[in-house]
Amino acid sequence: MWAQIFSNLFSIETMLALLVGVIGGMVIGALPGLNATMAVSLLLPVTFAMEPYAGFIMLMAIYTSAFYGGSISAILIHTPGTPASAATAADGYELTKKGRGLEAIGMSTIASMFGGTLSGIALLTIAPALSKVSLWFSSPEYFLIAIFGLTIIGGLAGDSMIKGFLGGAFGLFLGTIGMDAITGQLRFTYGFDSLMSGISLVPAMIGLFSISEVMIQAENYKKIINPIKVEGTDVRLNGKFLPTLKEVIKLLPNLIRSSIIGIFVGILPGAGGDIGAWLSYSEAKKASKHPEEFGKGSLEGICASETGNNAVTGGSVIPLLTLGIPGSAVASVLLGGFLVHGMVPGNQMFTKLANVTYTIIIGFILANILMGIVGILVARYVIKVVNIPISVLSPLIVVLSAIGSYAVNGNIFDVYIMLVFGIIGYFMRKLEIPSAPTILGLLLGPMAENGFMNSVVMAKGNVFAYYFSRPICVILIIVIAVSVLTPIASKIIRGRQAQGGNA
Amino acid sequence: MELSKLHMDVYTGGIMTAIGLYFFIAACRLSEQASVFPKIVLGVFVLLSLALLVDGIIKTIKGNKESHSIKFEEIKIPLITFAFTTLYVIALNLIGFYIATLIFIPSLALFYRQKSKIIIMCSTLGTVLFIHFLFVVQLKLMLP
Repeated sequence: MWAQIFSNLFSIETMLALLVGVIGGMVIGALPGLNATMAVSLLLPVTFAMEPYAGFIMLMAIYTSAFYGGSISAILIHTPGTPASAATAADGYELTKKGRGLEAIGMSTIASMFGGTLSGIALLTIAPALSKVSLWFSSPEYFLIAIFGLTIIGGLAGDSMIKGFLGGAFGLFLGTIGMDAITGQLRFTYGFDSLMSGISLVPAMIGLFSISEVMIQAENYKKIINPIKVEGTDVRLNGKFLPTLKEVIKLLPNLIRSSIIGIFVGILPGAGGDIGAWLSYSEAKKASKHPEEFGKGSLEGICASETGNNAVTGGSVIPLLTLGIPGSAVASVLLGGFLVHGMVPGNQMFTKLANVTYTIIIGFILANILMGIVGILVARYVIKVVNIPISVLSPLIVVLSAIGSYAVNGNIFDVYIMLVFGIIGYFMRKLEIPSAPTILGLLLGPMAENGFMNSVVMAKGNVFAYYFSRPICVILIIVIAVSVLTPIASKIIRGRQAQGGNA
Repeated sequence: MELSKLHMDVYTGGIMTAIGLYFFIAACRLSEQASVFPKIVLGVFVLLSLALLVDGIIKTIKGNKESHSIKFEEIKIPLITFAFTTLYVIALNLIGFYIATLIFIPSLALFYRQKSKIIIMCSTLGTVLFIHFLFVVQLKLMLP
């Protein structure tokens, strides 16, 4: 098996995919407004003609490199390229103002590479063992797993839990469109034959994440028609770049702690890179001998947040590969990709499809190392991309979105699906309804329905009693209840604390 | 109570409830077995929409203005951009990828007041060649 894996890894296709993924991810991450979710959904159709391992290595390289790219614009122009780099912006920009911007980027490079690589190693070691859990699951458990994924991502997405769950329920409804698997009856197709097999996942994802982003960018019309050259992009970056070995050893506890936090946050469905970065940052501040420097140009702060956000990437893929529960919005898109490629997450990913899965995981580890090397070589120049005008980027994204959607089935109807989801995605964002639970609902809908309908048959009567007679179901029901109630309880506690503070 | 003072969630909850009820009624027309799961999902959807409506009413009463209403001025340009995109998709089907793209990219760039003709020309030709190379040469896809 390993000979096959190494032959897969060191093929020209995989190496090219790695390089394109790393550089593409860094550039997209550095562009404020564009993010990894959009890039991964946009490039998913490109993977159809590639070997699945090469395609997924490219997508995962984009995922991890986008977080790193986001830190470059955060440090040099105080504009986080991705939300996950917000914690880096304060300290990084302070250092830039002191003429130490290059040193901050150097720290971010080492920290991102360390966090990402360690999360890849965690993925390689934890995922195979965890995947065996899926062998204990039957239809009722799969139904509850789908509900669990939705409740947790819905509960954590955005400020309003109701809107998060509403987005999830909407996605589940969209998942029912098409031919019913049991009765063969058409549901909500309204005469469109192309909807018989349901809503195409990839065009829906491209619409929700890419077209809606183009529309959001269009709101800044005044900025588009009067582009102002971003200050800081022409600054010649001189001085020290990489930290010394002594400094890295001194920061080792910070790097390891932040990696563990990031991996753990990544495993929790719904908690993304921003939470991983802020938690790591806050813990590093508590542990630091110089907490007063945090927010005023602390290299320790940059180290923590950048290690934390990149460690989330590998962590979020663990529940995705083992149980089919994505740990982040990007992981939701990756789940869609796996399903389109005929790879169903679970134990078979580490048995029947082990060659492909291990190639992807080791490729992900290599992507993180390559990201560090490429970062050392080109990071100081990547910042120039923030001056690419929206008037050039937007048409390019629209064309790529349309052709990417068409490429899935060679069917123009899919491009119309992209359009519809584009406008839905835009208004969802305007109404502050998160799109990630909708995509997850659409992805998990068929699994939830099959699980539920089969368990109704298996129950032969009282469904509730049947669910409560299965120990794993009871555990999952408790976990679902906790995942729903915890955000409510923390909101109430925060409200009372605020009232107490005002009194 | 003035409509303009209503919290945005009141409108969102109201519209979502109406959409949910419409599809719930449509689900009721399906056969019993095919309608079980859609009815459960749409039932939950309607309940959540009603919860959002009530939440919006409470926020309105409390005078919470954290969520501003959507003004047409704010969404005008995004909607025009969407209209450009829709026309492009229709053109893709009617006149094919190459001509549609050669018209679409300069049109949207000019709408965004991109003044440099060289940038427009390079980005248009670059995109067409890139997509031709990637999808036609590499992926062997027949473009529309």
